[in-house]
Amino acid sequence: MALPIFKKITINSNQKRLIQSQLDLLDFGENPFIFEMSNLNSNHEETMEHIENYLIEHEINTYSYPLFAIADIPNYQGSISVVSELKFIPKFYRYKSKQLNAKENSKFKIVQLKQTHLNHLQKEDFEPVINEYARTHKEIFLRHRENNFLELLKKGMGIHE
Amino acid sequence: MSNDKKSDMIGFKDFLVQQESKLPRKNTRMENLNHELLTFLDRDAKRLDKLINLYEEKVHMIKNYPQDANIIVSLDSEVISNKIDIIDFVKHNDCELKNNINNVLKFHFKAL
Repeated sequence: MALPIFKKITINSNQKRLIQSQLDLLDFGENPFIFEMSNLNSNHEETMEHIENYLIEHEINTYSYPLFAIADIPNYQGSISVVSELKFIPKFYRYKSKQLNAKENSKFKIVQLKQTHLNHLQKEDFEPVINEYARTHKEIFLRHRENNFLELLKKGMGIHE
Repeated sequence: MSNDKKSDMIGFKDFLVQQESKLPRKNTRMENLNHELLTFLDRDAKRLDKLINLYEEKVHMIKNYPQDANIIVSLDSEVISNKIDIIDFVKHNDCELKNNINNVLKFHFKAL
C-alpha cells in the first residue's frame, strides 16, 4: 500500500476498452487520483462518461478519497470533481512519497486500518439514507426561500403581525 | 609547548573534531523533526474517522430519528399563514397595492 497522496493518471486514449484497462490497475479507496486529460484532443465529456460508467459498473468506492480530473468541462456534475488546471486541486494530498520513519509508519498503519474499515462498509446501507436526507433538505431550503420572500413582501407592504 | 601540554591537546583536538562532525547530523535531525508527513497522516486518519462516523453512526441516527418531515410541516404552515396575511391585506379596500393595480388597469383599458 502506498501513502494516501495524489496519484496522477494520464489518460492517453478516448477508447472505452483502453480506459478500462488503465483504470483496472488503480487502487481506488486507498489513494486520491487525478485524471489528466489535457493530452486528449477529442472531447473530454465522452472520456469522463467512460470513467463514470466504469466507477458505477465496478461499484468503486469514491467516498473515502476524492477523484479529480483535469479537463475542459465547465460546470461538470458527477462523482469526479473536474478542474481546468492542476493549481485548482486541493493541496491537502500533495506530498512527495518518501521512506517513512517509525512514528510515521505506525500512523500510516492506523490510516490503512481506517481505509479497510471504510472499504468494507456496504454502500447500500448508507447511500439511500444520505440521498433522501439531501432531497428533503433541498425541499426545506426551497420552502425557506419561499417563506423568506413572503416575509419580505409582508414587510414591504407594511403588514404587521 | 611542552610535551605534557601537547599530549593534553591530542584528546581535546579529538573532542573538537567529534563536535564538528556532529553538526551536519544535527541538521538532518532538524529536517526529520519537521513532522510534516506525520501531521498529514494524523489529519487523514481523523478525516477517515469522521467519514466512518458519518456513514455508520450519523446515518443510523438520521434513519431512525428523522426530523425533516416535522420541519417541512412547520415550514408549510408558516408559508400558508404568510400567504393568508398577504391575501387578506390585498383584499382590503384601501390597500395601496390594490389601488395601484386598479390605476394601471384603468389607464391601459380606459378605451374599453
